[in-house]
Amino acid sequence: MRGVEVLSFLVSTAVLYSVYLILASSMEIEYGELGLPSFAKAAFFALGAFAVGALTVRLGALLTGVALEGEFKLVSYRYATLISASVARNPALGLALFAVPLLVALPLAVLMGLAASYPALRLREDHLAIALIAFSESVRVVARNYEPLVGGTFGAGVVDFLAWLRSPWKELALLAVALAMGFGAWLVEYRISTSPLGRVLRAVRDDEVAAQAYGMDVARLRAQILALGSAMAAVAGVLYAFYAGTVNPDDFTVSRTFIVVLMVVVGGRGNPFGPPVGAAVYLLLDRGITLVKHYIPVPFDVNYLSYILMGLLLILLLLKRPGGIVPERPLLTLRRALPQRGSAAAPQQRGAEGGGPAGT
Amino acid sequence: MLDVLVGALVYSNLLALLAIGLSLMLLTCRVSNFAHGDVVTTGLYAAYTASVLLRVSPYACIPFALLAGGLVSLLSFLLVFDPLRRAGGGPVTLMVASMAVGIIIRYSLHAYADVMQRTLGVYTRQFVLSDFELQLAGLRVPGVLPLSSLTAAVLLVSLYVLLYRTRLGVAMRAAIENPQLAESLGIDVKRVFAIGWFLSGALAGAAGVFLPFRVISDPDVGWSMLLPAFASVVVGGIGSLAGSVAGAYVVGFSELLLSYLLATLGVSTAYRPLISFAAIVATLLLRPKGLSSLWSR
Amino acid sequence: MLLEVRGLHAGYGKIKVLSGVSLTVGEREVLAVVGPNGSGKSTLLKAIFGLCTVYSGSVLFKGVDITGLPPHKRSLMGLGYLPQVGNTFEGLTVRENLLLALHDGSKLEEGIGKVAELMPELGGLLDRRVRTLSGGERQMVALAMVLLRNPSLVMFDEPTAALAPRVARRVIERIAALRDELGVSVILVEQNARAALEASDRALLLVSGQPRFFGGSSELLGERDLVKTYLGL
Repeated sequence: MRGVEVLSFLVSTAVLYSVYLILASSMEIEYGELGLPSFAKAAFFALGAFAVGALTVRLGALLTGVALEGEFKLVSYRYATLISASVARNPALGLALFAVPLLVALPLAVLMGLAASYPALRLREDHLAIALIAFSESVRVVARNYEPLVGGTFGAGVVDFLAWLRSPWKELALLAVALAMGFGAWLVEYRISTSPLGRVLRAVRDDEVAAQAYGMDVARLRAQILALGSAMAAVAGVLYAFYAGTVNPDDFTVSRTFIVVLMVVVGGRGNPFGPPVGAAVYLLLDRGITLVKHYIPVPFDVNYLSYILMGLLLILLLLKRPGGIVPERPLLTLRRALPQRGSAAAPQQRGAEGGGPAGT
Repeated sequence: MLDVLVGALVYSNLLALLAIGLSLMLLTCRVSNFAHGDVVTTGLYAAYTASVLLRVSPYACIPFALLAGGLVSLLSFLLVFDPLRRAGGGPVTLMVASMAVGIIIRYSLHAYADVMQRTLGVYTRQFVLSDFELQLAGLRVPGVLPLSSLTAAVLLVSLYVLLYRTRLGVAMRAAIENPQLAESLGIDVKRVFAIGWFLSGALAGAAGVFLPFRVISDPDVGWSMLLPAFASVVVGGIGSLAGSVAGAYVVGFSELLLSYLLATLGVSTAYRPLISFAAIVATLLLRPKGLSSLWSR
Repeated sequence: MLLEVRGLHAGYGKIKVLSGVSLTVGEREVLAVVGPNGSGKSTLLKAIFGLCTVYSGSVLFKGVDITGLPPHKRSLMGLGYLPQVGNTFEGLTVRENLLLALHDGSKLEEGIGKVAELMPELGGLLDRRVRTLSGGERQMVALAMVLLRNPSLVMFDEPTAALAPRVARRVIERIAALRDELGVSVILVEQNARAALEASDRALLLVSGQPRFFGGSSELLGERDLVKTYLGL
C-alpha cells in the first residue's frame, strides 16, 4: 500500500477507535460502575449522528443562501458536496456546521436519558434491558421510515466541515479532534471511577437495598448517570457522522449496542482501563480480519468470521474470566494533597474492596 | 381483510411457538434468550436444505427443523447457559451471553447460506417459497394457514401433556420452582432442564419452517421475530407458560390489525415494530403480571 | 448405632458455625437438639444431610461414612430431612408432590394409601395446590413426602415454628410417636425446649456451635443451671 493509503487507514482506525472509546467509556460508567444495562446506547449514538445528518445540509444551505430543491432523501448527497465546496472557502462555516448539531444533540440526549431513567426505577434489570432495546429499535424504525429526518433508507449526506484544509492536514485535524474527544470521554470515566462517586455507584450496583439504607438516592443517581452516558454517546454519534460522511439509520441497530457491551465486558467492568482495552481488542479483531481476509480461503464472506470470533471470545471470557481482561481491583481514590508524604501517619484511602460479583 | 386475518393467525401461531420456548428458558435459567430468534432461522434453513436435497416440500421436513432447532438450543444450554447459571451469573450477564450466542448462530447461518447457495444452486437470501392453496370453508387460503395452525396446536398440546401429565413434566415444574429441593429428592435438575431447552429449540425450529411462505427470508429473519416474541411473553405475564401463548395471539393480532388500520389512515406499515415496543413498556409499567394476572391467585 | 457424628466442624463457606459436635442416635430413638437462637441447630441438620460445608469430622449412617455423599444419595439410604421452609413444591398439587417423593413413581397409589393411614386429613387434599393449603397442612404434606421414602431416621428442623403453642405440643408428641408407630428414629431440632425434652429420649444441648450436654433428656431437664441459662426454663 502506498503511504497515503497507509495514513488514511491509520487515521480512520484511530478515529473509529476514538468513537468506540467514547461509547465504551459511557457504557462503563452506566453498566460497569452503576450496573445499569444501558441497552438503548445505539439510540443515543444515533441521536448525535441524526442531528448531523438532519442539520448540516439544511443549515449549510440556509447559511449559504442556497435553496433546497427536491426531496431531501434524493438530493442530500448532492447538496452536501455543494456545501462542502463552500466550506472549503469559509472555515467558520465548517466550524458552525460542526458545533450546531453538537449543541442541538446534547440537550436532547440529556432529556432522553432522563426519560429513560424513569423506567429504570421500576423495572428489574433484564426487563429494563429489553425495554431499552425495544426503544432503541423503535428509534431506528422511525428514522428509517420518516424520510424527512435523515432520508430513510437512502441515508443523508454530511457536509465535510474540514473541507478548508488540504490533505494530509485534514486527516490530521480530524484525528486530533477525535483523539481529543476520545481521551476527554475516557478522562471523565476515569475521574468518576476513581472518585468517591465511583464508590457510590459500585455500592449501588452491588447492593441497591443496602445503598439506599445508607441514604444514597438511587433514583437521582440513575437519572444523572444515564443523562451523562447519553450525552457522551451523542457526542460519539456526531463524531462518527462526520467521519463517515453519511448517516444511515440501519447503521444503528442493536448490534451496535451489543458491540459496546462486548467492549466493556471484554475490557473489564469496574475498571477505568477496561474501555480502552476493550475497544482496542474489538478494533484489532475487526481490522485484523479486514487486513488478512485475502489470505483466508473460505467459501463465504470473511467478515462473518469476525463476528463469530467475537461472539466466541465474549462467551469464553464470561465463562473463564468474567472480570474481563483488566478486572476490577481495589482502586486508590484521588489523594488530596497531604502535608506529610510517605509518612506512616498519613493513610491512603482505598476504594471499593475487590469487585462485586462480576456476573451481576 | 381476509389476507390480514390469515397473516395474523399464521404470525400468532409462530409467535406462540417462540414465546413458550422463551418462557421456558426464562423459568429454568432466568435468561432472556436473545439467541432464540436465530434458532428459528436454524430450523428454517434445516428444513430448506432437507427439502432441496430430498426433493420434497419443506412442510415435510418439519422433523429436520425440530431436530436442528432442538440440538442448537440444547448445545447452547450445555455449553453456555447451564455453566453460567451455576456460576451465579446475573440476568443481564446471561442476556449478554445470549446475544453472543445469537451472533455466533446468525453469522454461521450467513456463512452457511453462502455455501448452500454455491453448492446447491438455490437462492438462500431474500427468498420466498411458493405455497399451495386450499379451499377452506368456502374460502381460498394459503396452505401455511392450516399447516401452521395444526403444527402449533399439536406441538403446544404435546408440551402441555408432557408438563402436566407425565412424571418428567412434574419433575420439570418442580425443578423450576425449587431446584434445591428437587435435587435433594433425587431429580437430576440439569438433565430435566436440558430436555426443556431441547424442546424450546425444537418448537422454535418448527416455527422457522413456515416463515419463508409468508415473508422474505434470509439469515436475519428469525432475529426480527424476537422482539414481538418477547412482547408476547411480557404481555402474557412473565413466568407464565400459558400466558406467553395467550400473549402471542394478542400481540400477533394487535400488530397486524393495528398496522392494517393505520395503513388505511395513511401510516406506513413499516412502523409495525413500534407496537411491540409499546406493548412491552405499557405492560411492564402498568400491569407487570400481564394477562396471567387474570387467572393467577 | 444408626447415626454417628464424630467431631464435626461445619459452616457455610468461610463462616464456621459448628465446632467439634459429636452425637449418636440409636434405633427407635428420639433425639432432641435444643439451645439458644443461633447456636447452630439447623446447621447441624444441614451438615448431616450434606447441604453445607464440612471442614472436618465425619458422619456415619448405618455404619457407612456418608461425609461427602450428595444429599439425594443419603436420602436413598434412608436419611430423611424436613427443613423449615422450602420443603414442598407450592405450585404443584399434593399428589404431584407425593409422586416426586417416591423412589418408584409407579407405586403412587400404594404410597398414597400408606400415607392416608397415618394422616387421614391428607386424603381430601390430594388435588389441591400446596400453595392453597394452611401452614399445618403444608407441614403434613412435607412430612408425608419424607415418610414415603421409607426413612430409618427423620430429621425435623423446628417443625412447630409457625404454629400456635397448643398445636405445637401436639405436633411434637405426634412426631415422637413416629418412633413407636413406624419404628423410625427421630432427630428433633426445637426452640420449644420443654415440650421437646419431655417427648424425647436423648438430648443434645448446643450453645454457640459447641455441645454442652449430650445424654438422657430427663437428665438434662434436671440440670437446673444449664436449663435456666440456655433454655430459659
